[in-house]
Amino acid sequence: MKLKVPVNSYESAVKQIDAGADEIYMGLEDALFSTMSFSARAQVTSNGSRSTLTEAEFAKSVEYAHARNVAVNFTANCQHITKSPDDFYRRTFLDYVQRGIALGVDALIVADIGNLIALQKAGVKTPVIAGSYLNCFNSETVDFLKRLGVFRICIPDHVTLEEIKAMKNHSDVEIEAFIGYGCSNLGGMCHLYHNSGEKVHVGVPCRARFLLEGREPECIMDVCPDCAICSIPRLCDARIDSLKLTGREMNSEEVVKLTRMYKDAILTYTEGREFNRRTIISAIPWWESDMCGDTHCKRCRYEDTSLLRSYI
Amino acid sequence: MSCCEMRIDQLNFHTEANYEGIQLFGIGHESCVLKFIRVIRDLQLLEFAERQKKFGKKIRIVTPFIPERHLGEMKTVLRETLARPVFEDCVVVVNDLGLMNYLHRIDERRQMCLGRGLIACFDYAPWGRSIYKNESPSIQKAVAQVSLYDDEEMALFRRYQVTEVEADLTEGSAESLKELQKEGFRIYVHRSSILYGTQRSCYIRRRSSDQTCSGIECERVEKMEPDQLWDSAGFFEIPPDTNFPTMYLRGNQICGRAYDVSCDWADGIILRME
Repeated sequence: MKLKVPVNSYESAVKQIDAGADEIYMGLEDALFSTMSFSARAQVTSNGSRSTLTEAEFAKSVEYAHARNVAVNFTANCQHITKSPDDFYRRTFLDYVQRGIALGVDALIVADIGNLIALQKAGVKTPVIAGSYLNCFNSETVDFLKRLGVFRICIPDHVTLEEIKAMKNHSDVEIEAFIGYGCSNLGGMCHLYHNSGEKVHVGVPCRARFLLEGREPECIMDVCPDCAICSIPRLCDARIDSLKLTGREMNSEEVVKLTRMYKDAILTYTEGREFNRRTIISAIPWWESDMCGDTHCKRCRYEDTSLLRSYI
Repeated sequence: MSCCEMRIDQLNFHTEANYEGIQLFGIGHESCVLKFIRVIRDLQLLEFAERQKKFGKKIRIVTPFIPERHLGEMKTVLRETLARPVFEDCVVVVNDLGLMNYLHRIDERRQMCLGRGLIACFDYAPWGRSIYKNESPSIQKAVAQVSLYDDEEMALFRRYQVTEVEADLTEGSAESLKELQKEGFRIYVHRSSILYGTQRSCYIRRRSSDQTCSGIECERVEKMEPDQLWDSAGFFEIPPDTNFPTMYLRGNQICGRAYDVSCDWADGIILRME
């Protein structure tokens, strides 16, 4: 089982790998865009942080990763490529993919059906991961995506561990599950795009506070599942192939702390040591109060909580 | 425009109202499998659909995304439903690639319509234009188009007998929807609301003491006026240029008011009982 973590600079690549990452995922700048990218994030987000790398940074990051047996996943997971004169948009996307391949990436993350087909037609041999925007909620979708040539599927937020296990057992396609910060809405169906290059500051819209008729202001939309520490033993037992942290648009120092904490959790369990949740999460002082609160695991992704019991 | 569809996705649907101006009824639910099953098995609604079909109206089924744990039951429900004469040869609206895969496997001739859950467009964001306004004109045009408007995707979905699309309508997406129409897809546009997002954790179930629902409470719409936004630094006042809209929670859907964009060219419009 691999721990897969986000990278948004060479410095963050080094820190993430030194923190214990088994896989890193990152994207390249592309001159086609001003602020958007082929990488499902703005090249520069509305808070000024970069989420894509220059070619020089990328090459150094790949070299550092491969020297330490860390795999590099290339984010080519823009949600949709549409028709354009002389097909320039798709051709430029394929050029972007070839740039990543030339730099030595080990796999591509792709989140558009048309792109999956185009890569097959172009004879691209680099393994492809179906991104979470493709909304694989069930084993029929696993079959559908497998026929499009993917070797691994990133399961979206708000899928229970039992369901993930069912999809894992259904097929020989590898399964990747989120463990870090999540989204309130189903990713591939959400049109409250943020960190996509917007020139207005909308923050994280699903965590906003709303005024409701006759009620106190409330973050009524906020059901982000943000923690999976307690579930690490069960995720390990389920033989999930990759556990993924999010945060290319975040402060990389904060994400590195998450990487260390989750790596500690994984090694604690896999090496047969006593799995003490409190000890593990004490690495981040505010984690317990933010994530667990009065009731155990209030933001937990995979444990039996009122959040998961509210799932359709 | 040839067709006005009324969506039957509520158990409180007015079966005794006058639907003279309606040519098509879409029965089911585009976002909630629990609601879908309740609606599609409701005898009163099924009788209504049968009556309307006798009057010469068309009927279609509207299906949601399907979590793995409901997949088995959904397959059974669909097989039973499609065996009913009222749904013979009807188009099925799909919002789940896996369900589309299954339907095509059991009936390769069954025509399908891509639902809003499978159509993406940056222009659907309330601040959509701000995402791409600094890009080149050619990129602006490309990203404002709906996701299906792509040769590879159109070819694939045609192989699955997708012949129709239902979508939200914005200034930016209108041109690509018209191009899809020229490519042979029938286009139905929603006029009651725009769908901003879908949740698996339904707020009705979250609020109940045992995280269940009766299937009726979600037919009441909860209006959400934006108060403060949030980022990693905490809550902040809404900047005046964000165009952050009033939204509505309708069960597990987050909606906004549909934009007033001309749709005389569309093959049909979709209305809901509000």
